[in-house]
Amino acid sequence: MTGRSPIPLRQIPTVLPPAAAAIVCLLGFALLEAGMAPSPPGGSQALLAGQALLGAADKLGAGQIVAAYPPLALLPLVLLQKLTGLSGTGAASLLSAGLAGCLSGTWLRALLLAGMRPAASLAVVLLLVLSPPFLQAQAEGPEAMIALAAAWLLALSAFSMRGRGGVNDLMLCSASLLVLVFAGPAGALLALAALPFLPLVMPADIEARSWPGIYLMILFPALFALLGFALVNWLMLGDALAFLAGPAEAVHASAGGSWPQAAAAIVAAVATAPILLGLFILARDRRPIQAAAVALLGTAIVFALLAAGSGLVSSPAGALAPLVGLAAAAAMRWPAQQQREARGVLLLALGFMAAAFGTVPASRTGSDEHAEAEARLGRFLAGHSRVLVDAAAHPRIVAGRGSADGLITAGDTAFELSMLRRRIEASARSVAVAAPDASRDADDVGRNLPGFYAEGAPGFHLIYDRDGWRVWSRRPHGDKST
Amino acid sequence: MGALSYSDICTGDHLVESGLITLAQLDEASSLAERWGTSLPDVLMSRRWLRADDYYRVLAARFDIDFVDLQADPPDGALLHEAEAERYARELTMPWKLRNGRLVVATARPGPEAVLYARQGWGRDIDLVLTSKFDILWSLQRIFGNDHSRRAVHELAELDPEMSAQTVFTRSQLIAAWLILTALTAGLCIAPVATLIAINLAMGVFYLGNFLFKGLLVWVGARHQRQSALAIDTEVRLLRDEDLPVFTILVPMFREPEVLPILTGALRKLDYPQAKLDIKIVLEEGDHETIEAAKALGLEGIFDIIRVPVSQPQTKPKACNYALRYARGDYLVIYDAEDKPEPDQLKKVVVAFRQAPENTACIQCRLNYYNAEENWLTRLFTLDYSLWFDLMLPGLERLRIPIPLGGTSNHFKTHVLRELRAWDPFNVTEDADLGIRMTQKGYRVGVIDATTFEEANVSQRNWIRQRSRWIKGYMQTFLVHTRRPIHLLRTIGPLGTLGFVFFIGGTMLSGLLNPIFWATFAAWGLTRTGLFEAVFPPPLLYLSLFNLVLGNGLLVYLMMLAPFRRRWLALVPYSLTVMWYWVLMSVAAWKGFWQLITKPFYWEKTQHGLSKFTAREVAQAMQPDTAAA
Repeated sequence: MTGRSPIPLRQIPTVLPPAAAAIVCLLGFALLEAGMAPSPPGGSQALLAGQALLGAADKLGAGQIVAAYPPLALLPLVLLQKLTGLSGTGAASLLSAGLAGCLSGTWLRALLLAGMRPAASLAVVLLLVLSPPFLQAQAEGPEAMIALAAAWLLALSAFSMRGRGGVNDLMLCSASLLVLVFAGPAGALLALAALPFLPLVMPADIEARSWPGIYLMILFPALFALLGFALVNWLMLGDALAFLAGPAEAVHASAGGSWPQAAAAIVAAVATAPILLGLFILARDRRPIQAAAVALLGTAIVFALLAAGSGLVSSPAGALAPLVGLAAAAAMRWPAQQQREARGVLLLALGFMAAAFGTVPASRTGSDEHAEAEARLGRFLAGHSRVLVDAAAHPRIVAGRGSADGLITAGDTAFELSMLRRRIEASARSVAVAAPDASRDADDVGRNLPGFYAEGAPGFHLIYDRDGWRVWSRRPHGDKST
Repeated sequence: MGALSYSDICTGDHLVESGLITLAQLDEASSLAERWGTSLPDVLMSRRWLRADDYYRVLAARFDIDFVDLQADPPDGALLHEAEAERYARELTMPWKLRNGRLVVATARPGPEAVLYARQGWGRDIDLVLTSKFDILWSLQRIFGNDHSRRAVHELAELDPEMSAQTVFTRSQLIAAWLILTALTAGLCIAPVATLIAINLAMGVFYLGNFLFKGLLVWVGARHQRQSALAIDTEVRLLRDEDLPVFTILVPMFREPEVLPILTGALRKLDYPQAKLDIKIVLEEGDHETIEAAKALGLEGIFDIIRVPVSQPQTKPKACNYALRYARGDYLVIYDAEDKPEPDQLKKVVVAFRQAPENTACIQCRLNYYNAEENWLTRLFTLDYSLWFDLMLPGLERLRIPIPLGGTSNHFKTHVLRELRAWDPFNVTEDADLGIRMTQKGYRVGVIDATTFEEANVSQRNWIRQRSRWIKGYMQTFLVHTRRPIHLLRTIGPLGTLGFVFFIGGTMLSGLLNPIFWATFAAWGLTRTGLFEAVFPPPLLYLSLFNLVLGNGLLVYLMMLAPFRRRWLALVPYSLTVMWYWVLMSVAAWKGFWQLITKPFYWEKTQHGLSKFTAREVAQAMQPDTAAA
């Protein structure tokens, strides 16, 4: 393989990476806002956006915000929402697009620094950011984008750890796993998938008997942060494992995978990142690169299997999104020689064409139907105010509605009194309640007012009844009909 | 490679004819002298093939000049000038007596250089007599010992009082402390909750800054280390011995005769022309047992014993300041008695000085322990030192933040050390202080990848004593260098100041504050009392939780990373037990704080030689074949 001749930093047009970042960010935001890359209802964006709206409107307790999973996406989103006043989905789109822009600028800079010609670098970045999984990750929301970025960092550390074996490489690996775990369920799955392959990328001078020590070093940040997060959940919500409720529900609702689905997932994963295969073949004389390519390919395959089987990844393309990060890192290790650069670009293009057709049969589960139902209900409630609803348990309603203003939710006095007295307070004009269903048992309204879904209450009439949701509204004064 | 001088050739032949050395020894010594660029007798004495007394007597006979024993026939003190004493020591030449109206000059380096020096200093009408190096140094100490001792103690305080810790708290510091305390008291009386919240917030921000700063240091410190180490290694291989300068090694010791053989053994193993080593074993005059032990070892000519007159404060920096007067090297390093420097350390330092900017005044080598695996404490201490020296100090260097020098293995340009009036004898971490002072004075401190292995403390009580002194010294250093905050900011810049505050201030302050926060958290966790709710409003509560969870996690993680560079991965799991180490650190911090008030200059002596590894090292060093190697 031809050795690279890194370009000195000063020779890189300084304006190029920031310009690329700005363009990608603006275009991404515009596309998302125009609805040209719609977020899947079951995706994380709606959930996060809803939580952010509640948080920014002070309808989600600060304790609930800091204890909510995934914190890495939610906390900045709440802040952004508060600062900009954008709608929940708008803030999520802006954050996603911002992350996409930062990534593209950073990738371009890294490729140029690695010695790739500007034209080839631009082509690689374009292929990466226009690839269907990358666009899908943007549409899915900040959660997916953070996981993608962390996957890229993980792959970078994998490429350098075996060769250089420095403390920074180890720190990068630990940090990327930490970010993956807290980026959301898909990220956590990717982190899990990477574990068996870590020995392949460990520094060559480390003996096998020292692997436990290395594993401890690499995993400690993620494990300690998980324990810390459990402590925060215990302190704030009284239940150390409260943050696992959402992912557990998704797994529970998942239909599970089948062998054909698993096979398709593997094919899709490999087809999406052929550059890893290409790198493995090209790097015959560089064992560390080869080992990293194998490890990343293995990670991609195991991740695809886990995504297909667990139900934790909401869309097929979502399962391919982190692979863009792996492909980006592989492109940065690709030999800088002109002819080979073209091959690398070609392999990337092939991969993303494959991804456009590729589907990971992540089960479209009941949780998706719930999500769609909540989004629809939210849209219905857009014109209503003083609606009592357990929005903390169903944030997608808020996202669908576009605002938390006018909702009476957990934490509001009227809501708490209604739950305590088991009678709707006079200040609530309407009540949204889910059908009594095992998968919705977290809904406080349904739990405290068990007959409300079926019969409503005296003085209320039904104004919405769809997909397991009903909205009862007070009759205007003087209307005695039932 | 320089050819042997005519004088050396004649001397060599004469020594063989006198039967003092063999022909084989002459051949080898001649070749070494040519390679090292030193004189033949220096090589012979450094190899212990020739005793100094024999050499001087033979030489006197050969040149037909008198050999004088300055102990039996001491020099006339009226002819000597204290200001010239350092030069006498460097040239090994000094006025002895007036005889028949002519000045007689005694020299231990007979040859053209000595004649030239003597004529330049005292004119052409002089006579030369021969004496030994030992006699010259002994006489200078006898005559100027008290003056040198007084200067060793007071010179810095007299000439640069702002930089001396002799005054613990300046008036302005006392006034500032009084104002702060008054404001706090008033705040607590008028608005107690708001005041407590403000204090709490300040502490929270400090902790957060401390964690982030340490994380940043490790990240930055770990980068590019390999490249700089490779650059130095490559140049070391290209070094020619004849181009190497004379290197002074100071070894201050106090009541530790048992580790002397380890030290001499380790110094003999240094990959450096021995004839260019100027090793001073610095002993307190009253420490008879170590003096006797040193004499009993029959050390070769490269070793000198410097006896420091009794005076207060009886500290290591005072002893070093005193010994500095007799240093002959262009560079100077301090080693502790139980130190085992890596053999190529001095050469790496020479290269590092040559590669570094001109204003580099000191190169700090890494410290670590040879008895890491002895017990829990030594393991944790090793993790601590690895983090400090392998990761954090390089980070400080890269970020251009003043580096608090470690206790030993700091290599100086001797002339800069003299210019700065060396170590502050009133500061019990004089090395840390000197590092900061150097940066303030416009000099730079570098860090290189060369290690000196020491004995880690094996006993917790002993460890607390040692650490309490360090923390007290950090407090002194912090107080000294924050006396003129604007000056500090101007000389080391905003980042340097911030780094200094976090690195020096943070290290001591976190030790003092930790028990308070641990106790608060434990009290709240056990009782779930609502007592603290008022002083922990939500944002502050989250900040404190963040610090508690992620901050402490980060510190444990950094500790875990510390042994990675050396691949000492068996130590990694022990980092999970660092909490008890922090408890010990807090005990030491409070002890140090108490001593700062009650006994600011008291030197808590660390007992060395307790390790079973050290006992083994001593046994090995005492074996004749090892010692002679």
